Order: sequence, then structure tokens, then C-alpha cells
Amino acid sequence: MPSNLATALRTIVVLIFAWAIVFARREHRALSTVKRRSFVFLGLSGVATGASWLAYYHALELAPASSVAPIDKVSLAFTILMAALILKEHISLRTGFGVALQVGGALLTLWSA
Amino acid sequence: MAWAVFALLAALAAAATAILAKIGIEGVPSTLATALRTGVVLVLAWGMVAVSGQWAVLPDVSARSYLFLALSGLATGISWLAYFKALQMAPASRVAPLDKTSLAMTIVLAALVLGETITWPIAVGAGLIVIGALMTLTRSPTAIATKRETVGGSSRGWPPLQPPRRPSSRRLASKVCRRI
Repeated sequence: MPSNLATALRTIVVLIFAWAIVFARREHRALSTVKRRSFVFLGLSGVATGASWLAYYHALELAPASSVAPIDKVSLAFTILMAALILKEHISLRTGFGVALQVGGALLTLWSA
Repeated sequence: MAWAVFALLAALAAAATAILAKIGIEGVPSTLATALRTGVVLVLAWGMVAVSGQWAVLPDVSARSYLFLALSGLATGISWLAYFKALQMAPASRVAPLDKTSLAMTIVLAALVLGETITWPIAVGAGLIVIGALMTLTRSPTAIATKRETVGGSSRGWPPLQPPRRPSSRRLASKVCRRI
């Protein structure tokens, strides 16, 4: 099965599941209190996920997975960097070192591929 | 090298997902936030199917495939709900490293459930991911300081920063009593 189709089918289940829990917990009542800013950023977050998948599959069409996968594994480092730059989160030396180990480990898992 | 640009874009967009969600989730119940976000992801995912013309394969999908895709979807749903709940409670830079342990867990499950062989580089890599995650888990000095202030120490084993208040209030009480 094409991976795009599998992802799209899977997302239907995720959507139904998430909304089922929302209604079970009566969180849908909070919908009217959700700020416009939250809608915008949650929407953008969804778009970012979609864009990430799109770019990943497009890269896979252009190059073998063994070339594409390592770059994808670096996203954790980007998250930490953006958290520091955009959210102004404090990144301790320990966290930085731990994340570097993780990224190194993630790249190592691709060694034999 | 066009592929490298797209691969980098994929990594950047994946990172942006967490940052944007962290901003958007403020003051919104995390389940509702996940559900709203998933709606956008769904539209994009089906847009991709439409563009690539993969509709055609749909009638050929076996019941077994549907079943496992649905189960996979449930697992993704639980993962997302938990991730955004965590994102609401803690900084993104602390949630993301822990979430990354999924790669190590996937490797272990692939060996146990699918019987895939684990080579040495993969085993060492998975080990480094877990060790790195544990390192980020240790409280930063600032986190400990705020914890001490709010909890007043002792309850989590941290030594109290200030001497306990009760004796002083007792002293005050005895002073008042004496005055009476």
C-alpha cells in the first residue's frame, strides 16, 4: 500500500479517537472559550506536521531512504534550538549534552542501513 | 542535492510542530487541542493522497491491512494525546527528548514482535537515545529552586531552602498567649 494512503487512513482513526475522548470528557464545551490565537497556532502546528510528511516523502522520491533518514533524525536538535530561540526556554548544559547523545544514537541506528 | 533540502525541511517542520503547538495549547484542554490539530492534519494527509492519485488502490486494500492501520491509528492517537498533555504541563525542550525514546522502543518491539535482527550499531544507538533522554530528565537547578519555593521542600526529598515556618508562628502564638 502507498505510504501516503496508509497515513491518510490512519489519521481518520486518530481524528475519531481524539474527538471521542473530547466528547467523553465534555471538553467540547470549552470550544467557545478557545482564543483565536490558539486556533491559529494549533492549525499551524497541524500544517507543520503535514508539511513535514510531504517534504519527507518528496525527499524519499528524490533520494534513497538511507540518505534521507539521517537528516530527519536531526529534528530533535531543531526542536531544542527552536524552544530556546522562539519560546525562550532555558536549555541546561545537561539537556544539551543529553540531546546530542540522542541525536548521535539516532544516527547510529542507521549505520547498517 | 534537492533531496537534502526537502529532508531538512521535513526535520524543521517536524520541530516546528511542537513549538507551534506549545504556543497554541495555552489555556486549551489538551485533548481538544489535539483533536482540532488532527483535523488539519487529516485534510493535508488526504490532500496528499489526492495529489499523488493513490485513491485507485483503495478497493484493493485487504481487511487485515485495514485492521492493523486502525490499530496503528489508535496507538498514534494515544501517543499524540499524551504528547500534547505533556506539552501543556512542561517546556517543549523537556518533552521532546523523552518522546524521542520511542525510536529505542520501536527497535526493541521490532525485535520482539516482528523478529527483526538487531545489529550492534542499532543496539548501541538505542542505548544512547535512552541514556540521553535520562540525562535531560534530571532536574535543572532552576527547576529545583522553584520546586523548593512552591512545595516548601521536604515532600520530594529536597532539603528545605528556608527553615520551616511553623516554629516561628508557634513562637508568635506563645508571645500572644503570654501577652494575654
